[in-house]
Amino acid sequence: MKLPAGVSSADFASAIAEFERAVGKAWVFTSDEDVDLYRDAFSPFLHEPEELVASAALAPATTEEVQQIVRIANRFSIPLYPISTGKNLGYGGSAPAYSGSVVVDLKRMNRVIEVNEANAFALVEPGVSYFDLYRHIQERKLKVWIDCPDPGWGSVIGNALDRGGGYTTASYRNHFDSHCGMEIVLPNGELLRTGMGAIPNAKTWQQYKSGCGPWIDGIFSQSNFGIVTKMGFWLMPEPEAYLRGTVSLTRYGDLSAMVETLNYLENARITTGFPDIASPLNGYPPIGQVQLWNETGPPPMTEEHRKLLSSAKLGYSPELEAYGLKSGIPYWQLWLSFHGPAEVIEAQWQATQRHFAKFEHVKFSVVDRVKLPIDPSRAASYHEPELGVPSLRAFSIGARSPWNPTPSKGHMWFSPIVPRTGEAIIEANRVFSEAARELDMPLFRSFCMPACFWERSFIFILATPVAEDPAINKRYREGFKKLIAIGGQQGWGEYRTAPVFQKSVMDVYSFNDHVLQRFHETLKDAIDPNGILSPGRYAIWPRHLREKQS
Amino acid sequence: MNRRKFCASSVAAAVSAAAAGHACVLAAGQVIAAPRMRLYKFIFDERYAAARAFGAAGEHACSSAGAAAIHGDVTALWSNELRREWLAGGGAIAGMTTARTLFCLEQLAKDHWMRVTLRAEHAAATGPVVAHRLTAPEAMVAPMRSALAAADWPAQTAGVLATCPGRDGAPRSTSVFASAAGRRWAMTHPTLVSFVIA
Repeated sequence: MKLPAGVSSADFASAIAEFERAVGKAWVFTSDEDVDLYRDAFSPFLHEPEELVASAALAPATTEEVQQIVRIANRFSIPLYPISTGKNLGYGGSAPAYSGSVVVDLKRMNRVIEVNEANAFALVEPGVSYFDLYRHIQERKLKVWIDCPDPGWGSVIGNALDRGGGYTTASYRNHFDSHCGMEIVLPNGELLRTGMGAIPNAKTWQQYKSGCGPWIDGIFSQSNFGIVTKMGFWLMPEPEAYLRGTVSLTRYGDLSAMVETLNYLENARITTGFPDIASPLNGYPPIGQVQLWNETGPPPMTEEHRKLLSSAKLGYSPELEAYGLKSGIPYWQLWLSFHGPAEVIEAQWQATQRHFAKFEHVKFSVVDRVKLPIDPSRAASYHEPELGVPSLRAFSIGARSPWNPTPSKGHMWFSPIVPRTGEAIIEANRVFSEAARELDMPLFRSFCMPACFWERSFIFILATPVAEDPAINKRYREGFKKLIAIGGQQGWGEYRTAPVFQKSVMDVYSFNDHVLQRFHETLKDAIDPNGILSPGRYAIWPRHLREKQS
Repeated sequence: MNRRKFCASSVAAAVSAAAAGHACVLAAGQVIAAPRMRLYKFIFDERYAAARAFGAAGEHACSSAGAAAIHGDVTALWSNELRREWLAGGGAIAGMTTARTLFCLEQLAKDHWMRVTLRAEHAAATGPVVAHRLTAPEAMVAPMRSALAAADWPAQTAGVLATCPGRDGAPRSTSVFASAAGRRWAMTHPTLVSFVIA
């Protein structure tokens, strides 16, 4: 067992005994076999001594037990690391940011406290997964949708607090933005409710977000200022119909105008579903088709096409463009989806086509026109999360197959935010492909397209593999950090990252001599003076550990 | 019922089931020793011949456990069955699937403090040879090696996995060996993996 640094074995044993009294002996895990379950399944330190590991784990069932745990931790200076369902694979998983921490596993706190259909909101505990919430809604035949990531096994609260996203409409895709009201156990054990929840007997806790005075919810996301024990979310009323259509363009030079048109349509709420940009001529699928490609293989490509691709620069050559025109393979293909009454979404699709009609050779196609709700047994015909249905099919991605004979041991997500322009797509490809080539990193080896999870910006989400060989992982980790810095020099920051890279990412946010970092530390010293909560998460260290880290 | 209480009671149930004459049929009318864990289901990926043979044998190997076919995706099986079984504190499973499917099941099992107690990877080597990499408690190594050396190793494996102990904390060892029985099972690209989660 790895003890927390600076904690004597006597104190640790005393703390464990008190934790057992607080949550019950059955829910305190100290054996190597049990604590092993909390290792990061995608750790980039596979087989290395630097792997971040817990010293023990606790699984409380109630907010009161969480409060007791926090008070005990303060008495014995035990660092804690709360997790919801621990499925944040690719961003650190269930392993702590500071080795030796005691994981506080909140998955037993799995109540769906309320789903209000009329006002379309839910209030849940941290152990509620997207599957749990979906099941709760389906069993009661409530006419609301969830918005879930892919796979859907993660915690609704956990994903929102790490600022993850999903696939339905813009109002619900940004999971933190769609929350309304939180309950938090502070590092001193006190219970705080935000927004209207700060009013005793509040009637609008899940209906009005900001309450009055400073709106503090944001400081509990991607941070270590409290343990969230309840969170409210706005839900989408079940739409009557769904339409998915494609807009196909033939010229490389169409990219910027295509993005501008998309931006207008999104910002004007003419299209609100998840926009998905593919480049069929570059062999780059839309996100919604990736799992299908992994299950059945990518579409066949002629040898001529393959050769033209290999000599293209930043996804372009005149010969490649000519080949696309001749063969009917679009350069760019925008997948757009619409949710709502049939007559409304038809009108929105018509308006979309009118705005894109200015492009030469543009083609439109309706992929799906579906009356909702669909039979759950048919959900697998679609990319389920776009219909608010959680799935585990994403695990076909990376599976060994004829087109992927050597899958990795996991991955780390490289996920910079870039401007919502065609120019930025090309520039990011240029900058990162050059850097990745110099660093011998397996990223940007071909022209990559960003994703549109967030309105108003693009995000590239690319997997850096975790290898079996520690020497390769060490090289990839160093390369990853350099790519973060290179992105920062361009003004692009990561939106989320695993603990091993959190310092590198936060170092990029260096405006005014890292004033943001210093502000975080000021808050940390005030809110958590003993520094017991998730030390090091997003590079926020408590005072007693800060100097060691710098 | 919490996880810890269940582990104690399921061992007791398995022992009393043995005492009552409950048994698993291995093959050709042979009866083996009673299972040491309550096996809920054999899971197999129906896309692969070896896994189909495993599943068919599993259904006969243990009268108390059924077999469930998947087509790569465990969503329905987990949502509709396993989750409920694991929430109730039971449901050890044996399976033969792709490594990615096992990874998915392994992560879901962790939510119930269950884990992979035996893992055998089966990869196509050259010609008809299949390379097996086995990580198992010491007591299972010999029976697994014997099963994996047989021409009908997928079926034999199912029978042996039905006898796997649950979480007994015994140390596990890893060994690699080959058997010359690949061609019949069309072992090409996918590395299949057989396993027990308990």
